[in-house]
Amino acid sequence: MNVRTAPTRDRARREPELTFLRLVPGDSFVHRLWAGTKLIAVAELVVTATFAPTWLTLGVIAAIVALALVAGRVPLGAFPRLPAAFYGLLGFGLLLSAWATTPPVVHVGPLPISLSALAVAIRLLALGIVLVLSAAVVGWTTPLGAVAPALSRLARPFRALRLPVDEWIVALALALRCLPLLIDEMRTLNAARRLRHKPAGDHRPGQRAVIEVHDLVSTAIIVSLRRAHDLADAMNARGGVGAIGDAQDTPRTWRDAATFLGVTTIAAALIVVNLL
Amino acid sequence: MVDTRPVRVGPGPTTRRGPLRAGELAEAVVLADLTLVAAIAGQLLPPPVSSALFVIAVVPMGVLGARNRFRALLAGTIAASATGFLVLGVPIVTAVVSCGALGAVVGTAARRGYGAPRAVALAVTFLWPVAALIADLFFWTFAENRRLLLQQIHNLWSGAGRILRNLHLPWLADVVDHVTTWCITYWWITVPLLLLVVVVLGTVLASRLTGPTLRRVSAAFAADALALDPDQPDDGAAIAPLPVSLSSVVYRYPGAEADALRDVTLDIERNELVAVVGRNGSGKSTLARVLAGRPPTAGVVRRSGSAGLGAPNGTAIVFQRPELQVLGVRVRDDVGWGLPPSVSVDVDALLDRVGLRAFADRETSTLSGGELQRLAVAAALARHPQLLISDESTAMVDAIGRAQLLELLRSLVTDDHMSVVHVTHHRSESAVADRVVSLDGGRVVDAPPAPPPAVAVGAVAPRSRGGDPLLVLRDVGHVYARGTPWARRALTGVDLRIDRGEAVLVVGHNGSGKSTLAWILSGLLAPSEGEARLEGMPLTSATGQVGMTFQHARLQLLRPTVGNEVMAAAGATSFDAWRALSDVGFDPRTMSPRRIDELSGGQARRVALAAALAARSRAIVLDEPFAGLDEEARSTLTAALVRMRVEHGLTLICVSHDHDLPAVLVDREIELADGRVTYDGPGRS
Repeated sequence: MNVRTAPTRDRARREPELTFLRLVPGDSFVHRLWAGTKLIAVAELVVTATFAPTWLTLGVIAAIVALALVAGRVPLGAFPRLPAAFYGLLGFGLLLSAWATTPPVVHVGPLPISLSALAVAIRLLALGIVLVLSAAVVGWTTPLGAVAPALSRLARPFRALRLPVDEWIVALALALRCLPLLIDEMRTLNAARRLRHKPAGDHRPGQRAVIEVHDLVSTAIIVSLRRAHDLADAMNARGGVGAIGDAQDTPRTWRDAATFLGVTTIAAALIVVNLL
Repeated sequence: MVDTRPVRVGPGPTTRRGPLRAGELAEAVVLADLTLVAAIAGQLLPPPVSSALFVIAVVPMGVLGARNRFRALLAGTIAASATGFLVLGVPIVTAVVSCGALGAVVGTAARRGYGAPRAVALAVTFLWPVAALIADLFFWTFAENRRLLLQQIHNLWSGAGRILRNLHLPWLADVVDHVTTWCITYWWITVPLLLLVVVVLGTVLASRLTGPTLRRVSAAFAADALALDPDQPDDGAAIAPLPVSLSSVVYRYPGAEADALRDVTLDIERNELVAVVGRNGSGKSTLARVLAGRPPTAGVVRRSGSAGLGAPNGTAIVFQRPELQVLGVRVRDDVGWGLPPSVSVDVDALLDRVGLRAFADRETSTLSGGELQRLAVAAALARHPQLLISDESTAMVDAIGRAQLLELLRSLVTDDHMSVVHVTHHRSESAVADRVVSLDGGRVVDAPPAPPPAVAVGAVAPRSRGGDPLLVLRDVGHVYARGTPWARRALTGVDLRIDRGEAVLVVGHNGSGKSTLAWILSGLLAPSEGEARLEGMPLTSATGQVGMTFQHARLQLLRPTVGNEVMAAAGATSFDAWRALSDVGFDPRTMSPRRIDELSGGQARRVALAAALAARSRAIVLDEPFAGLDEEARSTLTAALVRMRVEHGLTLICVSHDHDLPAVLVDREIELADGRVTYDGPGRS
């Protein structure tokens, strides 16, 4: 048995930080909106953008999202820093799209570039960014604890359909509560994996990878189930599943009314324009 | 690998009807969250890894589907989708819903013992038509979106065609052209066909991973049977937990081979503080559960009504691990969690009562262990319980927090006329009690068992400084999430030199930066300022050479059995693994084949220690090595560590929030506060 000399890795190994779903501290117009208003507005924008991903729609929605980001004073630092591979792939995709033969094609030096193909790729990219960022604004400007009560109120009509809405809202509240804990545990699991030495066995590398994945997945699930056990104990200690109340959640302010009306009007107008 | 025997799963998942119970809901939420974590990672990583992560993301849902009703899977999928929407928008919702749907198929197949062909048949019969219909309907309704996507595909192919033509393969280019044009024209056929490929591949791959995983999960929980929901006798009796009288009570866990409680006779009156003292495994937590309303296997429990766990005027319980019983994101939410909306609670008054004034709007994740336990008491008080059971609530809390908590428990009896049953392994804590009940081996005994004989510790001369430097930290500082609004400084200007053979205690409160220091010392984290070196080499390029045991050691034991784990983690031969196991005080013959999931917390830490030893680690960092251990487990672990020092000359770095480490493990103490070293000198315990 010899001491393993680990491959010399660059010291710049950074722990990825989850920058979504974290409240950017502040007390802006957007922060003070009721969580339900923001969720409705985002849902409307998402549906509109998906229905009519034209330049007009995407431009208007991007402007609304940008306005919300500025009004909510979300700093640039809050945006996630994605791995370099992600951007590389993105650039490669754009390049590949521009290589198309769809006219009009312009020549940049020896390279033929299809402008219409590039436009299509950029519209798709813009659609993706809008879909992700519009939801992220809610996460950045809303305390997590406010999401479940707001949804509980919004879901009132569905209770009449005898759907187990309360069960789902409790599940959502717990999912929001448990996600950071689980991410933490997965991080520890990954750290433990990095501390391990190369096994001495004579498995083929592929086989070893399968065993390792199986070990990690099993451990993650077993540890999580133990956590579920504790969670259930904690719920039973408080009388069972219960329900998330929405009694104190009264949204009726002029801000919410104006935002709701404004976004709804714009979304409706965009859809009508597209249908005409 | 392909083993298709039916997997024995949870307690009759399909037989239950009606609303989800706490245990089912908890399992659904946690497993769906796990799927979400994998899906998020999959969205952020490049294609080959992301596809693998998608398959992995199906597995928790498959386990959920195999162990539980469809209703639980549905609730979990909805909760994780909504959570995911706030993280990464619509794309993640699609991923989570797909995982949920595949998980339903894979789970059902695993439960019924289907092999790959039948699992695929199941998926193609039930899942694929629905998915295909939904996809076609979506693209039909969202026509502009469809045109955009198809145009993009056309463009990509036309570029590829040009390349083929340049390569003088015009015939191939023509074929590609025809195929693409056909696919785009008949998109309503192409989309279902693509989905068919995804469904079949996903089912095959996820089944391969889910089956064996499920088998390991079932084996892990066969021992304690994971009885999530105690069958509360819901006989409609009035709630009256006190006085309670137990006579000849026996309790045996389902599937266990021995009784956890034997012939226990005991009375709890109104308005008294009773301490239940015993070692780990003496049955004291089981006794707490019987007092909280779980029906015994034999014997009689007499109350004037029902225990009413969690009900107003009933029984409340505070558990051992503080961070696990918090259900609310904010302190205010947690106090009121689960109360019917009709009940109004004066949250501020309750928080004031437990000494957490002005905590109402803080996030629960910012509270220390002791504060969380007092929060749990506040949540209990919101229901005006007559009986409060503290199930080792002090075990994971530091000395100051412990004293505050005990004082609070005492005052509940003195001032609020409640009864409190305090379960503990700290015999000294029985001083606050009116009455002490000692348990040993599931029986009530007259006197607590004698403490285990003190370990014969050879004289270990404290090392004098100025030896052989092993770990050197120069002006190390660390900021988490630097450059974001959540930047948090954990360490500032730490200069440290740890010599070979030293035994160092790093002590500090929650948030003092001690865990960050531990991660840096073990090479897991590159400090954002300064440099950390192991014998002159950057520590991050030597990850694995400094061993580490985590507080939650179960997370680092990945193989199914102990012997296997030590060999795999250390890359060691079985001979070295055996020697390491005996060095940490185990009998390798009985211990080596033991299942990892049968280990107690203390044993798990010793197995991790054995792995670090077998790997010939230069130093070992131990994160909270003694947290939650009873006296016997403490002394066994101490003996193992002392032996490592004496026989192997190993450098030990213990990180703890407590000073009560045996002096023999502390040559030197380093105190951290707010990320700075505030004391560095001889041990002060």
